[in-house]
Amino acid sequence: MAGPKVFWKGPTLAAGLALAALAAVAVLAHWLAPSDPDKIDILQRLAAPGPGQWLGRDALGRDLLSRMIYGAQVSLAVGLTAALGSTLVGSLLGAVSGYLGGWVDEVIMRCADVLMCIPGLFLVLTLIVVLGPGITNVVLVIIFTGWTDIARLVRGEVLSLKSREFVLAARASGAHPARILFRHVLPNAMAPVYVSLTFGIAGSILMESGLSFLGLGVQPPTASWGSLLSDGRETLHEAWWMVVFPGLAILVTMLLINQLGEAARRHYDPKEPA
Amino acid sequence: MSALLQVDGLSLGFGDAPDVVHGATFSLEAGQSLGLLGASGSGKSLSALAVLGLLPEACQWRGGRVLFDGQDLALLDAGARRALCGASIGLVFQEPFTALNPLLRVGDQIAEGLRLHKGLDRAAADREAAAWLERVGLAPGASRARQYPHQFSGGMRQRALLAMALACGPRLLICDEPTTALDATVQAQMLELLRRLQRDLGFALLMISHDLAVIRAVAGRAVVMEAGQVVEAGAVDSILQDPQSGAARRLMDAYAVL
Repeated sequence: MAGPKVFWKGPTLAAGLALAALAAVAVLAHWLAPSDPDKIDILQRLAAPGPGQWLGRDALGRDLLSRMIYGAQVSLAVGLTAALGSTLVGSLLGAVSGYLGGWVDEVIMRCADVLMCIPGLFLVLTLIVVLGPGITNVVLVIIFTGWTDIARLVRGEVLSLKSREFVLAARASGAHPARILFRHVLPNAMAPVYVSLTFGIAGSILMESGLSFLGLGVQPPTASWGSLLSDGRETLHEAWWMVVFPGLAILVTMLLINQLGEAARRHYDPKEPA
Repeated sequence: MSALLQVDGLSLGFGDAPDVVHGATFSLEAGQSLGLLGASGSGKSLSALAVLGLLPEACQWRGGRVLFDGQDLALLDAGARRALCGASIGLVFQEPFTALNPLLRVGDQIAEGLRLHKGLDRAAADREAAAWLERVGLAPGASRARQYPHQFSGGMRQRALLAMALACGPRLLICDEPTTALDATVQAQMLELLRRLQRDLGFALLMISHDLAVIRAVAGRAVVMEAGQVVEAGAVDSILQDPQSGAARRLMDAYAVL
C-alpha cells in the first residue's frame, strides 16, 4: 500500500507559499505600502509606472501600488469570510437536513431549491440594491446565495454516512444524536467540502471584484481590486496600468487558489495516485 | 425465571408491502446464548435492529413487543432508551471495515462509551480502553489504542469492535454475522475469544448468522427464521440432526454441498 499522500509538495507548495505571501502583504499593508493609498497628488495625475511609483498613478494621482496592497486586504478578507460563512452555513444546514430527514429536510431543501432556481447574478444584484451597497452587505449576500451548493453536497454525504455501520454502532452505544452528527458523521463528510471551500474563496473574491466594479461593493475612497479595475476603465486609453495590474492580481490569485482546490480534490480522491 | 430479552410477536414491514418480519417470538435468558439462524433476507438482522431501536426510517413497527429485563422498549422515551440500551446492550456488526469510524483513533472509540455510561474522565477511560484492547488480544493496548482503524487488519478490527461493544459491561451482546467477513482461521479465533469472554463476563449472547457451524460454536439453543417468521426453535444439536423446517433443511443441504 502506498504511503499517506503528501499535500504540500511541488506546485501546490509553491501556490500555498505565494498565497501566504500575498496574505502577509495584505495584513502588513500599513507597513509595506510605499505611501498613503488615499493621498491625492493631482500634479502626478496618471503618471506612468516608474521609480517611486512602480505601478503608476491613478486619475487623482494616488499611488496604484499602495492602493493595490490595501485593496488586497478587502479582496482577500471578503473572499475568506464570505466563503467560510457560506461553507459553515451550508454544512450545518446540509448536515441537519440529511441527518434528521422528514419535514426539516423538506423545508431546508425547498429553500435551497428556490434560491438555486433564481439566476445567481440577478439575485445578488437585487439583494445588494435592496440592502444597499457596502462591503458587509456583499459578504452577507454571498453567504445567503452561496450556501445551497455546500448544503446539497453535505446532505448527500450525510445521507450515505448515516446508514453506515459505525454510525449505527454509535447510536447503539447510546450517544446523543447531536454528538453522533458532529463527531461521527460530519467529520467524515468534510473532504468534498474542503475542496468546495477552496473554489468558494476564489468565487467570492471574483464576486466581490465584480460587485465593486459595478460600484456596489466597496465605496470610495476605499479600494479593492474590483473597484480599481472599475476606476481604470474610465482612463483606459491614457493609462493601461490602471486595469492591467489589478486584473493581473485577480487573475494570479484565482490561479493560485484553483491550484490549491485542484490539489485538494486530488488529495481526497481515492483513485488518484499519491 | 424471567427472560433478559423477550421478543414477542414482532412484526415489521416497509410501506404497503407485506410484513418482512411476521410475529417473530423468541427469548433469551441472562447469561445464555441463542443463535438466530436464517438465510439472507429472512428478517434476522432486522429483528436485531428492532431490539436496538435502530430500524431504518422507512421501516414500520407493525406489532409485537420487545422486553429487555422486563421493560417494554417501545414505551421508553429516546433518552431513557439510550441510557438503558447503550450501557446494557452491546452490538458487533458484520462488516469490520465500515463498523469503525475511519477518522478516530481506535482507543478513543472504545473510550467514548466508557465516558458516556460510566462517567470516567478522559485519562481513566483511555486506560480502560487500552486494557480492553489487551483483553481481546490486541497487545500492547496503549499503543494499539493510538492507532487508526486503517492500520488494523479485518480480524483486528473485529476484535476492537468486540472490545467497544463489551467495554461498558453489557448484559446482552448482539452479534450480527460477526465472522462472515473473516477467513476461516480468524473466524475460529474470534469465536473462541467470544466464548472465553462470555465465560468470564457472563453476558447473554444473541448470535445472528446464516452459518450453522458459527451458531453451533457459541450457542446451545437456536431459532430458525425464514421469510420473516420463526419456523423452528430448539437445541442446536437437535436442529442439526433432525431439522423439522424446510428452512433448516435447506441450510443443512447447502452446507453439505460446501
